[in-house]
Amino acid sequence: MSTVVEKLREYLDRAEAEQIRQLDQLVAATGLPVYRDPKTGALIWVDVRELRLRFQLSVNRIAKFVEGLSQERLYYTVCRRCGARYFPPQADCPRCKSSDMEWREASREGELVTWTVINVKPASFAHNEDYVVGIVKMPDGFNVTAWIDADPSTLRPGMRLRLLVGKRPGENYITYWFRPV
Amino acid sequence: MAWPLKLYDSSPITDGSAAVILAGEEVAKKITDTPVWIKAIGAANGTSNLSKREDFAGLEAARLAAQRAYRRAGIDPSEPVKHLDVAEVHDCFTIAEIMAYEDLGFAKRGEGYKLAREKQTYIGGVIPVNLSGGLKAKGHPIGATGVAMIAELTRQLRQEVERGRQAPIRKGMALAHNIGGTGHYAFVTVLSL
Repeated sequence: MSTVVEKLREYLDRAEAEQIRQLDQLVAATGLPVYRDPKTGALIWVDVRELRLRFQLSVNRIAKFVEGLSQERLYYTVCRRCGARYFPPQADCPRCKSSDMEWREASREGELVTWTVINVKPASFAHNEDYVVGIVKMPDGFNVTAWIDADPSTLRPGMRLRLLVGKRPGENYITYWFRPV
Repeated sequence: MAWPLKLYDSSPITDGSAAVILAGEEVAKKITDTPVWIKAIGAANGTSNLSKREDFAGLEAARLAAQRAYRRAGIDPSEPVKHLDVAEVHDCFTIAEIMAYEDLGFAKRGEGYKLAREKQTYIGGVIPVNLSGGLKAKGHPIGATGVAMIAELTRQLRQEVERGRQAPIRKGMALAHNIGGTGHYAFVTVLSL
């Protein structure tokens, strides 16, 4: 089974292949990566260099969250000074500036607040079929944004959704998402 | 594009430019006989994280920015339209204009649509809005959009706009509402003659 990283790479390579082939032909023919836009007649320079960007973010101070995921559990933080609750967890409280946080395990059922269907995807999600993203109000005192595995025509505001943690079908890394109860 | 919004609910990202001459009082009086003054600016931030918002029927940053601008301009926040001749609001999407009416206090929460439906935001209504066409009809050149609002309102207040698009100017005050990001920062500017 190919990984989510490989799948995405293959999709993007396929999508870009024809463009790259044309660019190579253009450079071979004229010595320059320059063409005239057929609609406006304007000269367009196509950069032959390509940027690839992969972010790396420190999760060192929310290690408990990462450990929880690997055990298919979800943790959030509560500020011991002002009581603000954070999911995904934060190590510092932006509300009162305290760093004295308590870790708690999140409930697994909430109420649907709002949702949308993503038809036109960003490049890094382009290998997916249309998907539903929603915001769910949890009894712990925060909202969770995640994909909803459901036919969007069956969704209603206020309906109960279950928060699942694990390897989503077709992928091989652990994440969390919702499904109707 | 994401449901329930559709293509024509969205403003087109376009090329465009706008310019204003921003000057202190002394310089302004030297270079023009018809200055338009910045009466007040209200600025505010909210959270960029949608899941952390109290609700999705308005923008906290815009509501705060409006309150601050009204206080500085001496505008009654319960009835701001009483003080204003014309406004430009950030209608990046159809729903955004209705939310702007409510965030600015032009209408009660949940009743913004009535202003448009009853043509109260047209010339002759209680508060003409987006006589420039707004972002949706004239385009949204992101960097120029805010400045274009100030340029348009300056011309409106000076009664220099072409016929058919000129608001009646009786009170001498106009309002620009501009938001950015996911609606997590907002500026409300009140201009006066």
